[in-house]
Amino acid sequence: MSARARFATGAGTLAAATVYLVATTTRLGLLFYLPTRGEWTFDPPTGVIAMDWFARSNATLAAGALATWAAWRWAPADPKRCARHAGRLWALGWMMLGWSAAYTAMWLIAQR
Amino acid sequence: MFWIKLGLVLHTIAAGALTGSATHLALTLRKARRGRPNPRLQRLYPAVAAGCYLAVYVLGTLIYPRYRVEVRANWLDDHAPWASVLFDLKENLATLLGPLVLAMVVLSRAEEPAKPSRALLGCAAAVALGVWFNVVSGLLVGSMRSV
Repeated sequence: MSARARFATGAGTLAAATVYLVATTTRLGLLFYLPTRGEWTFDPPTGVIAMDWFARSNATLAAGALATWAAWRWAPADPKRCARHAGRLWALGWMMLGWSAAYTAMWLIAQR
Repeated sequence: MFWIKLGLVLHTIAAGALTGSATHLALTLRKARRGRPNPRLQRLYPAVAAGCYLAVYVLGTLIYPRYRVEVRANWLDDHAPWASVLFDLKENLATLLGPLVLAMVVLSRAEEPAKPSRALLGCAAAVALGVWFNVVSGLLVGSMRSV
């Protein structure tokens, strides 16, 4: 039970951090909110305030929840194998989270 | 205007409760790993933290567009660009804490209270540090034109 939970949450963390980093670096397929117009668009016009945070954030949280559920459902049956993979998933998950946070900080500072 | 202000106040209260529950959970888990578990609190704090995270997230989402136009675009970007960067960093960090909050809830329910894993302690510590950073950042940005 414990190894399975660590496996599932490790997969969820890794998936969420990966989706966040990909969405932040590529900005592909993101839905933008235009707060001055109250509209949503995939192709924001220049010179208009456009917010991509809603799409990026919801995609990240949805990916994390979905991957946690899927990994729980299809976790390896053998507890030892599950624990070994869980350790690897968490190591990758922490690395991706750190990378995402560092990239975001540098990206935001560079924009100024 | 009233509803936005009310949303901001509730957002702040929920953020305070999230900070308290995540910090207490990290300290309780540290004690548990040293042989002094508290099963009731080790189950309660993650649930409180998750509820507060959800409230902070939803309320923050509702008031964010107003901040983006009336505070950031109309004032912060011209007078205090560092505050704009700090606020955006806080918003993105809050997103990255989401999967860790979920992990905290799942792991705290699945693990033996007497033997919490390093993953659970790591999640609690990271969430506590992250929300402390966010609360201080929010306070700094929110007080830009006060003191």
